[in-house]
Amino acid sequence: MRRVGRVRRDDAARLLAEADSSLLDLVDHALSKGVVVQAEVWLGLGGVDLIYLRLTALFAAAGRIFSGARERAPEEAPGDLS
Amino acid sequence: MSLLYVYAILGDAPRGALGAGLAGEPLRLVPIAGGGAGAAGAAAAAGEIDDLPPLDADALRAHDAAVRRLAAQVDAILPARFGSAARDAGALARALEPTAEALAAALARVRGCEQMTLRLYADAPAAGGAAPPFPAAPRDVAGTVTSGTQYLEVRRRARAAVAALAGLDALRAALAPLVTGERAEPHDTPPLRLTLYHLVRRGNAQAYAEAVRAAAPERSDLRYTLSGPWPPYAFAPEALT
Repeated sequence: MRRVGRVRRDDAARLLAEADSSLLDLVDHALSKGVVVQAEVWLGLGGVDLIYLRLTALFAAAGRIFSGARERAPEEAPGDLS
Repeated sequence: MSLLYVYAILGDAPRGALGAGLAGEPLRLVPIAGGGAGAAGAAAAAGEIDDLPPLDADALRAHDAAVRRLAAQVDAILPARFGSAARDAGALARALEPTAEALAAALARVRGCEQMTLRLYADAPAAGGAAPPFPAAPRDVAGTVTSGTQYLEVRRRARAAVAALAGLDALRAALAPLVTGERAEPHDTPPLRLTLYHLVRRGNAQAYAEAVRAAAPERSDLRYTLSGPWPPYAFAPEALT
């Protein structure tokens, strides 16, 4: 089995530390959802568990910061699938 | 030596060019065998890259951008999680063949749809004191829930807290005409209580947003954030290894 690049915990920590709310949404979708395929290759995503642990805590922190309902309208999202 | 980086499973033939991936590599299709007639035409969209992309914001955005371009080319798509890869096309086909039926079912579910993500926040217990107490979950020094039993207890308490959210039933009822599928994730990290991933028909995202605005209770203790439309990341079957 081929062993390929490794993601360090530092990378994950940095990603979350610098994330704004839209990036958190992207992390939630692209990094903790979706079809997982690892076919005859070993991927060293060693820092990803940290993201799973901290992501909802960061969303919760965002919820404390924003005092009222806060919304990102669909037209502001980066793309249109219609 | 390169590896095959996977972006998505497509349910039908793309209407146009597949475009390039996050390293600028041209994308190609790897057919998925098996799964009966329901999986006919399904294929993985992938590109050859030299090594895994770094885990940073630019790479995540590039992954998502490629998935979105693919989504615009087909009616049914299951996004792959960032970092999905195969040794080569043969390995990818062998890995996907046993899951072809599950993929076909998931593709049928998301066909013609996109995803909206609605997060609900509440600071205070529901009116009338109906909300159960919400003590901190047992965690170790790294913040990890420390056992399976404790994890289940956390989930139970999170579900109970969500059930006590005033206005949630009314919100769900108001959105129901627009929602074709739902995945709900309760959280034990107040004020975040619940994330609802909703499938809506393509083109209905604006109507969904307006329905949320109209139905969201005028309450100071229930707030929301909404994002979308997204490719249906939350409706892809997991762990196809």
